[in-house]
Amino acid sequence: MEDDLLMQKAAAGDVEAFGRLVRRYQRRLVRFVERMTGDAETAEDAAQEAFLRLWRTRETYRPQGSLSSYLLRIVRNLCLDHARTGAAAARRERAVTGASWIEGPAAHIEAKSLAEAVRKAVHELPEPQRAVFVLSEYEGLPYREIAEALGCPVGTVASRKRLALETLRRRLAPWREERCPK
Amino acid sequence: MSEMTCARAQARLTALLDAELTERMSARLRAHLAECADCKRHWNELAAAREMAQAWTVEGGEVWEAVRQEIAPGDFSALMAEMAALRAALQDVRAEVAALRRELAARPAEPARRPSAPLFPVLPPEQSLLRIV
Repeated sequence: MEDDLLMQKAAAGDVEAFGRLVRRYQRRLVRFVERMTGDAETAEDAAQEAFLRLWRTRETYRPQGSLSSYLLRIVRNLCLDHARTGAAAARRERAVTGASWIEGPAAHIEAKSLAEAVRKAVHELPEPQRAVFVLSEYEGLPYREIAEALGCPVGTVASRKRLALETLRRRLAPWREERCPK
Repeated sequence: MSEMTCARAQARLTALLDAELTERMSARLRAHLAECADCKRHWNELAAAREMAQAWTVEGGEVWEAVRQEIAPGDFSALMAEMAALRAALQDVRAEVAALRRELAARPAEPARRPSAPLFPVLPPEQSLLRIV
């Protein structure tokens, strides 16, 4: 059943119809936030919050684009809030402990495996590039849908994706040479 | 048609990998790659980076149960009440079974049965049917 039809049923109070929508998109949202923040718990909280916001506004919800893009926009904003609060907490921590810097969970990980190297490289991308890269590479969304979800032109998506992939090409060069020695 | 320079080609390689170019632009770019070793090497490196990126996997959890409890607490409470009632009923049945077991264990053992009378008594020879026949 189409998203719009399920949303109409949900707007009328049909919890099961809403459940079908949640089950359809929950994994995508959780994966996206986990890759953006590096934290599985935050990811589940953010996905839950996005669905609750959708439920609370179900009667006034008017689709402007796909439901998937709408939900991704909500969780992306929650990620930005999370990063801001994290940065504020880190500033407070620095003031108290005198630590020179504090980073997120992905910091200081010596890449012992390719998966760790990739995770670290993606985590260190600037946030707008990371969002595009994750949605394109891991969720397989076309540029048009990514543009809709992130609220930017398709051309911007293309240039962010290019910059992100170029960064990964450089960062993963040692692994590439190990896998395919000259 | 403007000439495809290496700079222009390399700026479009990612979009080519993502199948986001028009057929015409893809054909021009592929023609350039067939002739330019530098751009071909760059293309191979980008393709390898994309492939390596897949080494990082994330499962993605489920949140529906948590959401459902928030949006339909009434339904959830009713379900929990039903479960509590079923649990209480099960405990009653368990108590009954335990009482029966105790009663059975407390009963004195029944005396051994005497052998019952034969169903067909053995007749004296003068009454035997065999003899009549």
